[in-house]
Amino acid sequence: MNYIFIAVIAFYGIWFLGTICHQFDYKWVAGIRKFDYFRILPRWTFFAPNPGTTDYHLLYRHMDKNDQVSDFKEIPLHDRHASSFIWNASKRSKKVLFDLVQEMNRICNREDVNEAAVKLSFSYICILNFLTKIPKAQDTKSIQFAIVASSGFIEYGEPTLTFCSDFHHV
Amino acid sequence: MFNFSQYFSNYEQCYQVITWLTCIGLLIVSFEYLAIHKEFKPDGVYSWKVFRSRHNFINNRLFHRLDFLFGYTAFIVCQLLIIGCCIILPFAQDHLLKAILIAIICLISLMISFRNIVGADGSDQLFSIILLTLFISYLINDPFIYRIGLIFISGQVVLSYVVAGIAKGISQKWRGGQAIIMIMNTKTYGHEKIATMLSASSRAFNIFLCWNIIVVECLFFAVIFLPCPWFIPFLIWGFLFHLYNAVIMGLNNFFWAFLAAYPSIFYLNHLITG
Repeated sequence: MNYIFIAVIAFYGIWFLGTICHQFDYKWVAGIRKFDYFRILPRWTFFAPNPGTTDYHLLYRHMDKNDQVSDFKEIPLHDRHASSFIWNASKRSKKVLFDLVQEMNRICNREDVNEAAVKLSFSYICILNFLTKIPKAQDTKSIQFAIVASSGFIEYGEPTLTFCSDFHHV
Repeated sequence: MFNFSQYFSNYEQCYQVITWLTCIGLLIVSFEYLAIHKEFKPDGVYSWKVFRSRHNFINNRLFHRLDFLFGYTAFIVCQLLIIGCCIILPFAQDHLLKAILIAIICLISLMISFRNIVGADGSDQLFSIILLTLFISYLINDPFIYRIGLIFISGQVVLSYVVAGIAKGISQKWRGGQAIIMIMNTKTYGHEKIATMLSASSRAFNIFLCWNIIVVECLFFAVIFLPCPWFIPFLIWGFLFHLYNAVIMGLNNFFWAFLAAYPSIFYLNHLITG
């Protein structure tokens, strides 16, 4: 067995062991994750142990130059077509927004949450950047977004407001 | 009837089928990305202008020099390159040409994984695993390396099912039979009719559905030890499971990623059971 074979076996072996370690929530695993820039270490715990049971809704509204505020409108994050089992292009952009909204929700639920940290968070800036391109009236002065949580098709309770941003000039 | 087990006992045929299925899956991914290309512009949801701010290398000089690789135009070019390579790859005969084409796809896929700091899923990772393995195998072009590659892919797939099964088994929501109905009730991954049907069904039926997934996923490692045809039901279950996830939950890329990896399981089973 030559050196190439040994190197390949070692490479696969380390990768496989790394994947096994990555399934755990230890602090040192989080340390390894920081260096997984290309995300080659998967986490295979699909919908477990705590499956997502909440729908998050991203809403926005505008304020015009006369300080008149529009109604909230929803960015559709959940609609799917019958053909989505073959072709589901919109899933990609919805997944990003969904991940960002979930991250915002996590930040807001932290015990040590503060307003400045929320406004400077990656997810806040990302959502705001996305909303600036939403078609709007010419006299729009600023934009605000909100995140609402609901239980899904069969509603077990009233939707709850998770987060509401400031108005931002656009 | 077509004998899958016998067909996939040949590693070359395994690689051929894996390559074909991976290319189909990646073509869908690339065309999906191109369909939402506007989202990769500076004001889009995938804006590199915003995404780059999250990287640890934000102040690194090399990172600044490579910045152009992640912008809108480069992204379109990369997707077109993947499409071109995926069309040629299944028909390529020479192993070196295959290695070069896969190297291009692999490099771009890893770049996208690096770029898209949010929004990636497990199917992208499984495609990366398959692509890197195909690249190593075709580059070295040795029967031993081909076999080791198939063992590695099958190991990752079996691990994915077993980990998912154990994670579900330790969850009260899964053991108690509430998990599936709760997932199906969400508008994100669920289906209204199925949620309504499950909520009208007995608790025993919901427990059965949840335990069906827990037990099969936990026992999935048996596919590599059970003699033919006893391991086939596991693979049929897996196929139907991913088909359901694609049709009902919209997780279409998972279907192709896992299907592409299945020939490696046939091969490992053949290697162990003879």
